[in-house]
Amino acid sequence: MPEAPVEITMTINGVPRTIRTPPDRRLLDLLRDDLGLTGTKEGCGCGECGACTVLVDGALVNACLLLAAQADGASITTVEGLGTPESPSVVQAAFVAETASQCGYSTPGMVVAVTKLLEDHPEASRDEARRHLSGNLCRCTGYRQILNAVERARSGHVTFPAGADGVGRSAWRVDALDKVTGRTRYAADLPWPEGLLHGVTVRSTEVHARLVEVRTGRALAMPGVVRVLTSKDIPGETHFGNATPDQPVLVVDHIRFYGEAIAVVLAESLEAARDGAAAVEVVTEPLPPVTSPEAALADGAPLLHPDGNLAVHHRLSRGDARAAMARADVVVERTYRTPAQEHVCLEPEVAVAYPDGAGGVTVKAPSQNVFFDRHHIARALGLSKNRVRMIQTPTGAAFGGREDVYAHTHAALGAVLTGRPTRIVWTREESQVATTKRHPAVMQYKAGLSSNGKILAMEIRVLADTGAYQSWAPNIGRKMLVHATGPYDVENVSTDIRMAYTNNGISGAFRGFGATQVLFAAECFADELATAAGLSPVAFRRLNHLAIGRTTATGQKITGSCGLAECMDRAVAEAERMASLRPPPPPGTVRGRGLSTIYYGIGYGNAIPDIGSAIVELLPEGMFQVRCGAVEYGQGLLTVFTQIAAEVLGVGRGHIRVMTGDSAETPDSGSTVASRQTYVSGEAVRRAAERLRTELLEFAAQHWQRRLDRLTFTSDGLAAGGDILCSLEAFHRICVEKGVRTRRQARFKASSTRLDLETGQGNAYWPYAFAAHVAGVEVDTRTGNVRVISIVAAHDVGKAINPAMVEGQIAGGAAQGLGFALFENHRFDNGVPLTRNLDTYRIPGFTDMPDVVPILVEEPEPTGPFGAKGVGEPVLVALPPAIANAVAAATGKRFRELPILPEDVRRALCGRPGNAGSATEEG
Amino acid sequence: MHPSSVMRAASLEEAVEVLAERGPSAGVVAGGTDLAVRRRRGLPVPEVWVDISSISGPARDIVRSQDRVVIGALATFRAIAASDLVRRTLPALYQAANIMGSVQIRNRATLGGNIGNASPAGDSLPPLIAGDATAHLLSSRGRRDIPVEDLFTGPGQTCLAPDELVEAVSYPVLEGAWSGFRRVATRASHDISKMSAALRATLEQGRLAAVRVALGAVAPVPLRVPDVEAMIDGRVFNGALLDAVGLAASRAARAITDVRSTAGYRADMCGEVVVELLESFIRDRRDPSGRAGLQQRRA
Ligand SMILES: Cc1cc2nc3c(=O)[nH]c(=O)nc-3n(C[C@H](O)[C@H](O)[C@H](O)COP(=O)(O)OP(=O)(O)OC[C@H]3O[C@@H](n4cnc5c(N)ncnc54)[C@H](O)[C@@H]3O)c2cc1C
Ligand code: FES
Ligand code: FES
Repeated sequence: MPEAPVEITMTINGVPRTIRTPPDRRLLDLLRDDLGLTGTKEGCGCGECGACTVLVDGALVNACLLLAAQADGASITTVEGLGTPESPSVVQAAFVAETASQCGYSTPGMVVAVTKLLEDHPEASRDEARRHLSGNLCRCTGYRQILNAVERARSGHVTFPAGADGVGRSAWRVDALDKVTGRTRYAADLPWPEGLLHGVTVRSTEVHARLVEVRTGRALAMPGVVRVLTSKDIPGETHFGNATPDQPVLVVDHIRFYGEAIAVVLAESLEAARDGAAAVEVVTEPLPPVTSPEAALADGAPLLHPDGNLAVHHRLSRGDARAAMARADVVVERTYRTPAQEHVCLEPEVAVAYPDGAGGVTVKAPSQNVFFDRHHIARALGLSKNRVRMIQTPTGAAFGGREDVYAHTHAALGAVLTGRPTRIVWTREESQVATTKRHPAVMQYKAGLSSNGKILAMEIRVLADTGAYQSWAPNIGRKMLVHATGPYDVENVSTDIRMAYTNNGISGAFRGFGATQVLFAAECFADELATAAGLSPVAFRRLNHLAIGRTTATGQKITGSCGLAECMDRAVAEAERMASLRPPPPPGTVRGRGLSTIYYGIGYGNAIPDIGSAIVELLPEGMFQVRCGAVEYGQGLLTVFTQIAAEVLGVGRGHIRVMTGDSAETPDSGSTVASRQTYVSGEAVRRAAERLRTELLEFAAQHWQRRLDRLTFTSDGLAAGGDILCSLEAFHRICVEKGVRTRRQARFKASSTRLDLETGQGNAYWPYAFAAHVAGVEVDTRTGNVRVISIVAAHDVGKAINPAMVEGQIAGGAAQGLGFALFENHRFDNGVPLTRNLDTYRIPGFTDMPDVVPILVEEPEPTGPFGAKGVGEPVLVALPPAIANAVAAATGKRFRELPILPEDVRRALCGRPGNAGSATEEG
Repeated sequence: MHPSSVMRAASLEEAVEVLAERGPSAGVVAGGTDLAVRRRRGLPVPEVWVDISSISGPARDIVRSQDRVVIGALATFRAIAASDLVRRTLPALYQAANIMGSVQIRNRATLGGNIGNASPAGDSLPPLIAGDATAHLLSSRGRRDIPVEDLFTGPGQTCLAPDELVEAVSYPVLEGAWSGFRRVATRASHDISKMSAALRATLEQGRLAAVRVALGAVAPVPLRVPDVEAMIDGRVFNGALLDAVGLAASRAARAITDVRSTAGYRADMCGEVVVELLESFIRDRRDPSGRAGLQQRRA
């Protein structure tokens, strides 16, 4: 038991304070929980991410590693001490001006670190800045715009461009000022209401077992413990799931992965809940673990679910692949492998639930779809949907990782059962073991070529590991099915996708949604096929690429827009230009460049209703409000909607307010996934704004007896030519008096058709985004280390509503792609996760990322808002194969398994046989 | 495990008194960058934390004392990374200090903590061993000196008594000596070494002399490799020597496979890195104006 509190004195942001605190309190907790300085974030708790960076006596420090008592007498500066939204510091302003924050969770720590960097090393070059800032990780931005902000701040004064709010302009993000000043409140930053309970989850320490009993007596007897939730407490459905309800809210009788939630201890304090959780006794009978999809599908494998271990089986056939293969002049076969990748949203899972006093509940949490979350919560609670309100809090990134509900349901359950607000905040370790990962996959590719290099036939077999539950497996499998050939017109295709249950955690949605894996394989394979055909990678692709009028593997004819050729040509040309300027490689290193080209279906596809819905309303205070159920999680949706509405309505951003992600107040616009929201909801916003503008102006024309084509809205009011007829407030009043509605809703539905179950044929998605990346690598032949020295990323985005944000997506996606290619691998030892925090699960830092060179190709999509399609996912998908192809070009060795580790490169370069076996061969 | 109390020591002498009084339940915390992580992982930590991080004075100084350089145990890696004295007299340590951790970590992490933590991957340890450093230990019973290479008994273990502390570390200033440090890690910065190595040597009439080589993260303790040193000492530099040294360094490793790397790779890297260090040494000697040629001759 901790001794009595100690008294410490500190100067915090210039204000002297005396605080009594337990001796074991971390400085981070003191700042956040005791002093309400929630700008400082916790991302990892172990010194790796820098989200907790503060200045202690002028030195940068990880507040998660320091005891508050160790800072007795110190002077501390947090992000709040640097500036406010009303009066931001130069660095903060530069972050805003350069679009250097996305989800914003890394931003406060980053702002503190940059501030100090510029104080100490005002002349630091970009590379020096990278080294100095390497203690701060960011999962969203790819660092490029942060470095731009460093350079901008150095100049000493920063102004925001005024009047640059319309479509096609790099308007600064509407949420940026709050994010750079630490004002934004993420769920864990919300003030603690009276009577708050803290929940800590009891997790399985077994990989596979029968759950015999959960003994809660000892825990309940501990001071401060109020209740222990187990599956027996669930009033509604005990199981949930995105595709099928196969996952228990809390384990009922069958433990299927290490880290699975078994019980939740609710207590008066976090410490009491932690101690209580440690006292819960879990009685189990071990079962043999199933640790690979191959083992799962073998005869006699232990069954993880009653219907067997084959969770998903999808097939596609077009033409006659077997016959065409037999006719081919050259046949090539290769196998590729990709690992489990974790999203590493810098904000770990968290939910706060508030009972409404009448048996219902409001849940505030990060989310990708408040309506899905509400559905899952209501089902478990046995409540009708209207008794559950789900409000998305500012979300510390998502990347697909927030398509599954976790703490949400547990917190809601606690709130409903105890009648007290309940807060559950996961640690990074919990996030790492218990959230979904990208499906590991083994992909066997076979192709037959004609003598001139045309692909005649492809046969593809994929076996993926969905872990303990399906989550989105069937949909992810379908995305694999559609994208497996790569962006090529192949007349004869046979594809077979199987996904098996295992005890390796859970797999689920992650940026790219299955396409990431198969396009890695397909684009490495394309280079290998080019070699077999005696063609250059570019010539081979040009010969086989999709283009307008050509047909995808699902038999869909490409119409409308296809910027594939332009992306490839521009990326290759730029990469060549850059390479020609580079000095020769240092001794002991070899260099190479690699190309990849991809296509990517935007939206849900497969005829799943893909509907965007938005309301635009003129408010009494003379502002236009956009309401849409989509969510912002860093990608910039609030800003995109603001820009679209501003463009259509003709007013400045100051007159647009956007409200999103509240199941009670905003219309359901589907999930913020599949790169779909700019396209689907953006179009709904455009239509609603257009409708409102037209109808209100028609009324005004009548009312003021003016010509309709002379009337416009402006920030100053309703205008006729140069004259202001009245302010927007007054106009609203007049509308109300005359009974004119000031609110319009519009919907937009994307079109796709259902794939035939046997043949996989159909118009799978609409639209498609296209991209080409060229990566340049430098390989140290002694250590096998691969350094990516250049990335040129050309993306056909239809139309960039906000170019700076698109560029931010490109650089950020590239960083995740680089991590996937070179070091990320969530590893298990016989089902026990090994990589449980950022100290062993490495994501790219400042010094790993070159400055991505983005190229925006704008082939307008006729159905999208202003011609826009989507970009969120293709940015990640395109890079890994480009890196693998570059490593092959540099070393002459082909690596078919990700990540490409120095250990493997070194082994291959020394000509030794590797563990990876077939994964590494002469290329 | 939580610390149940934190007491601030005004001097290392006071700290060792407290340790002696409180017994094994007490332990010191300096920067806390290792202890905080241990605590989070649920590994054993002291119950009573004796905070030595705010002690000022000689305990954190880096000074020249006749023919030795003395570094107080509380010197942070930031201080070492900024020390011109260390840069001139033991570049290997200077380089290690500059690459370890992040700015945030270097601001808190101390040399004493790196030794006390006794991780085989501790980046200061190969440079200290290669630099022939001595640890000056302090307890309530008095002082004693132990060569750094003899301090470690296993991962996380030293031969320090429970109530004993590192007060300072010192190394001889060897005229004309060159030293260097290299590490191999996944990320270009802010990472933990998969393996590391430091080499110190002089060149006397064309022959290599005063050679010391130490390896990190390839054995339960940071490893001095006398076999490798013996192969180099007294020899004329040539390609054949390099090959033999590389092989011997690889053989000397007693590495394991863990979540960071494989035993085989670590062993291979020992060879590569030691050879690379030797090559750098020779290159610097031929071109003493080279950036890596940080020699104490110019001190
Ligand atoms: C994110 C991160 C990155 C890191 N990167 C690196 C790296 O690149 N290279 C590297 O080598 N290390 C690294 N470390 C480990 C750590 O920072 C170092 O080992 C550091 O030197 C520890 O010093 P400290 O003062 O923080 O030790 P503390 O955590 O305060 O103490 C560590 C141990 O040493 C003992 N101790 C402290 N001072 C003394 C003393 N004077 N005498 C005897 N025992 C003492 C303590 O009782 C404790 O057992 C990293 C740690 C983190 C969290
Ligand atoms: S929370 Fe402190 S470094 Fe990640
Ligand atoms: S903006 Fe950096 S983590 Fe999201």
